[in-house]
Amino acid sequence: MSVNKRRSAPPGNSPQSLLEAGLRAAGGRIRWGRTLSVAAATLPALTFLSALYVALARFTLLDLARWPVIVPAVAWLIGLGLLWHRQPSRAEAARYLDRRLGLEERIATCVELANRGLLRRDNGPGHAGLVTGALFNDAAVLLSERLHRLPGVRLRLTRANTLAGGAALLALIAALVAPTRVDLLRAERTELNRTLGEQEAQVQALRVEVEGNNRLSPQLRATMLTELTGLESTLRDPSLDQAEGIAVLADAEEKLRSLLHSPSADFNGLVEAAQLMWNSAASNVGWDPELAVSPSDLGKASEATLFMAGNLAGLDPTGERRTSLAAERAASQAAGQDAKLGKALLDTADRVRSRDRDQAAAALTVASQQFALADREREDALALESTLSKLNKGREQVAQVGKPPASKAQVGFRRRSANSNSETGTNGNPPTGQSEDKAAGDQTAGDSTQPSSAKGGTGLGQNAPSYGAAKAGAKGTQGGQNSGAGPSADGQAQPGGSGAPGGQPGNNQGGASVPGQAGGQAGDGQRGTLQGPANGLVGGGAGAISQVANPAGNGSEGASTSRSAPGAESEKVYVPGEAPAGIASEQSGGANSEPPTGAPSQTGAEGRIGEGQGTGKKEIAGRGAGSLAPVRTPYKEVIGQYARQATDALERDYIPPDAKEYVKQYFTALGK
Amino acid sequence: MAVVQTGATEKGAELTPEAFREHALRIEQEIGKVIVGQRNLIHQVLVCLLGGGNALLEGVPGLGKTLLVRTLSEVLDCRFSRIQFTPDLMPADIVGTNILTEDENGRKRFEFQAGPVFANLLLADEINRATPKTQSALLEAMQEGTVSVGRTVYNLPQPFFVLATQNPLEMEGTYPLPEAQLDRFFFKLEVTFPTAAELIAIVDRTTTDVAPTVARTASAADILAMQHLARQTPIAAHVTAYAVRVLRATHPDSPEASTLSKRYVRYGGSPRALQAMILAGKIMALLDGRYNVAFRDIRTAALPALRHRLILNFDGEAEGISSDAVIASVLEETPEETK
Repeated sequence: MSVNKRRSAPPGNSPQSLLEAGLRAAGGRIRWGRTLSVAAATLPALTFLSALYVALARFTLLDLARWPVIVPAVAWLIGLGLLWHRQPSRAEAARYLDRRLGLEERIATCVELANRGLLRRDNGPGHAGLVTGALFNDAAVLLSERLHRLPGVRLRLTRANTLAGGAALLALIAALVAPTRVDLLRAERTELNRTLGEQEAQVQALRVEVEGNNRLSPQLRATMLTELTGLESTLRDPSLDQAEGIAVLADAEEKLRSLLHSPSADFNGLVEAAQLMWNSAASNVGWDPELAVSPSDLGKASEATLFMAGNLAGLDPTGERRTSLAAERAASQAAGQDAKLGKALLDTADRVRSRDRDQAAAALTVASQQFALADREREDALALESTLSKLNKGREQVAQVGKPPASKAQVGFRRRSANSNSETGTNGNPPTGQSEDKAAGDQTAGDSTQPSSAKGGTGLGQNAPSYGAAKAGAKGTQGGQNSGAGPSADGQAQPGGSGAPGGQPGNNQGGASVPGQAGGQAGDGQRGTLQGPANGLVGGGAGAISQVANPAGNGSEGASTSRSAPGAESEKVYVPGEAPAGIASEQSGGANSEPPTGAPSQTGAEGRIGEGQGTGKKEIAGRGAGSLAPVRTPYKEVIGQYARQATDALERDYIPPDAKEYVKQYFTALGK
Repeated sequence: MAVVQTGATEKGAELTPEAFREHALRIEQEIGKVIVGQRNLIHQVLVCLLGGGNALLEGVPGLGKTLLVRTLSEVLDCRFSRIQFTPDLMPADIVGTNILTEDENGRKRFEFQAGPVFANLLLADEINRATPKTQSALLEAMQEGTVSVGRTVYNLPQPFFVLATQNPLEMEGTYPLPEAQLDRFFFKLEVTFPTAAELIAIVDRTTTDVAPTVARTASAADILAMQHLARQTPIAAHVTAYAVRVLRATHPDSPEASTLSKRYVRYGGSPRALQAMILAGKIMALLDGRYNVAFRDIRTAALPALRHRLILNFDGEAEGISSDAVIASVLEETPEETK
């Protein structure tokens, strides 16, 4: 028989200190073990929560900030920190020691007895003291022997926990890296907001500009201010989406366009008449243009004719003849647009020629009033056109939001199409240095040579509406292709106008323009498809043939194609005498054209228009140097026809006598 | 009511835990000289004795139940009595009776003639063969340590320890112990059949002329001192709580009830069972050289303390479910620590 003898605690270590050391060690392990256990158990949920938030932020259009994704993680860490910081009770630590070291509830019993004040090392009196003393000593001895075997904290993951954590991690990764269009949409939204903000600023600038423009008629100014103010406030609405933004801009455009009774280009004849008159006044009656109040030709003409009315007495016979002639020419220019002005100028010419100075002065006064009235109307038209142009560009910018860069280059008014090559000149070269690509259509008001009644669509159409007749020989822009983005329900183009008579000799460098008729159907607005034969005229002189591609319709995404004339190599071949259907024609070197500056081109040459090298859209400026185009129709076969047509026109329409002489001389020279 | 002190009741001297274990081990060793094997039985009988309780031994005849008790009485140097329970045994045969006597002056008076219950160790052999009336004669003695005869209460000598035996096989002509009496037994111990090696040893010891002798190693006072010391053994609150959970798990209506308890138990253990488990745990801890009660002690004490206190329902009886199986499930399903 063996009976265990009571052992004593190691020397230097009191049972109490051993017990406390054990409890401290156990407390630390409990804290770490508890913290790690809770961390392992809750980490999958946290990860799932984060994944859910990321998914919501990435895959929905909810405008969720990014920073809240760390809130659960921070709260989780704080919670773990608090959990770690919470000290376990002594009883809890004692049980941990008993459990981990196999002490069979010795420590827990000791701690409990100590808490009740029953634990005494000196055994105390009676049986209780004997037992508790023995227990205290026994526990201390065993603890000192086994404390070093206290296992470290280990993280034990259950299978379910591991699976849940893995699934949560996968979900988070998927939520982070899975492709989504929402970012793109959100970026588009940001870009849209920025663009709309820019448009709002632009509209505000427009409004300020209109407010400060004293030359506008008060009624128009008030109307424009009302529209622009409304548009500005509408654009300020942050909930405006792209379609609404476009619609708002288009609506404003439509309303403002309805105010435009006559495009500024309609006043070109009047402007030229005005130039003739104030030049005549300057050279014949001593009117000084530098002293003119109005900066415009029409305003100057109003002042000049008024001045002339009061100074007719100073005219010498030569001055009378020049004045009469200038008035006649001016009358011929103005008659088309303003019959009253034309009549007044014609009266002026007759009265000056007959030296009836009172009547001449009266006619000049009337002419002055008409010039002033036209000046006001033209200013209104210019202001409206400028505003419309800016609004249109703004609408285009809004419509381009969200398009990739490559698409943006194509979302113009004109888009290159494989079967839409046009060229100028005999060799099919583009006009010298004038073919360029632009991202947006440039057929802006005042630049086109062809009247058009096209109206911009209200949808996504991005074609630039043509607001007015282009100036012949001026900046005729040509789009070899016409395309747009967006529907345009009502875009229509009027047939191209007839070509004006040939250019004046001397203005046409080395080449003559054969009058031709350019008719054609501009693109019908639907989808912006532009189809129309581009048969036109001979590129006369330096002013390369330019065809005004009048998209008119605000077609969207439609590629315009130009049909080639029969036998032509490309879509648009201009055959002298066969000019029934050109979309628009521009005669460089014509009487009303700007002086062409290019190289001479051969009369009768055929030109193909608009073939450029760019993508997107093509603009061919009318100032390009002409080049020889291949002759396809013998000159002799058409000159007679042209001469007859010219003679018929001279007899049918009102043509100033001097101009008639020019025409006759011209065709006489051609016939030789 | 007069209270008469009968027999010697010695007050226990102060004892150290080490001496406690030394005494106990010596008692076991001495008994082991006579009883072959049955170490666990001897140990648990000793726990009953030191816990101040009574033991019910159940086993087939011939396994040494009576020999065990008799040997124990020899080792303990205590007064030993044996009562062979038979159906015609009367309560007076156990507790004693008043008989009419005549003194030298010829005056007649009743004199109490103490029965065999007045002993330190009482062997109630085949207790289930007596009628319930006779069986109940032991109730007061077992629980209160007193015997009431007429208007007189007689204190039984301390320590008082009843060891009852019963044969589980011969049920004919027996009277199963009522639940009230069963509950008064500290432990119910099952005497298992000896192993082959033990049988050989039994034969060797009992078929020669050499009879094993035992030495008296402890007195009644020592037993009382040991009983007193055992009760001083500390037990942590969470260990007590575990014992409570174990007890509650035997009750089918308790939330902590085990699976088998819910299905097969009609009534679970009584508070006396809990007392028995705790007290037995204390003694087992001291016998194991420890000074506090551990979970292990409760688990060890649970089976003998609970098995006779569980009343199985019809399903349990019909399916032959034993109380031991129910208790095993209880111990398996009851956690030591709770959150």
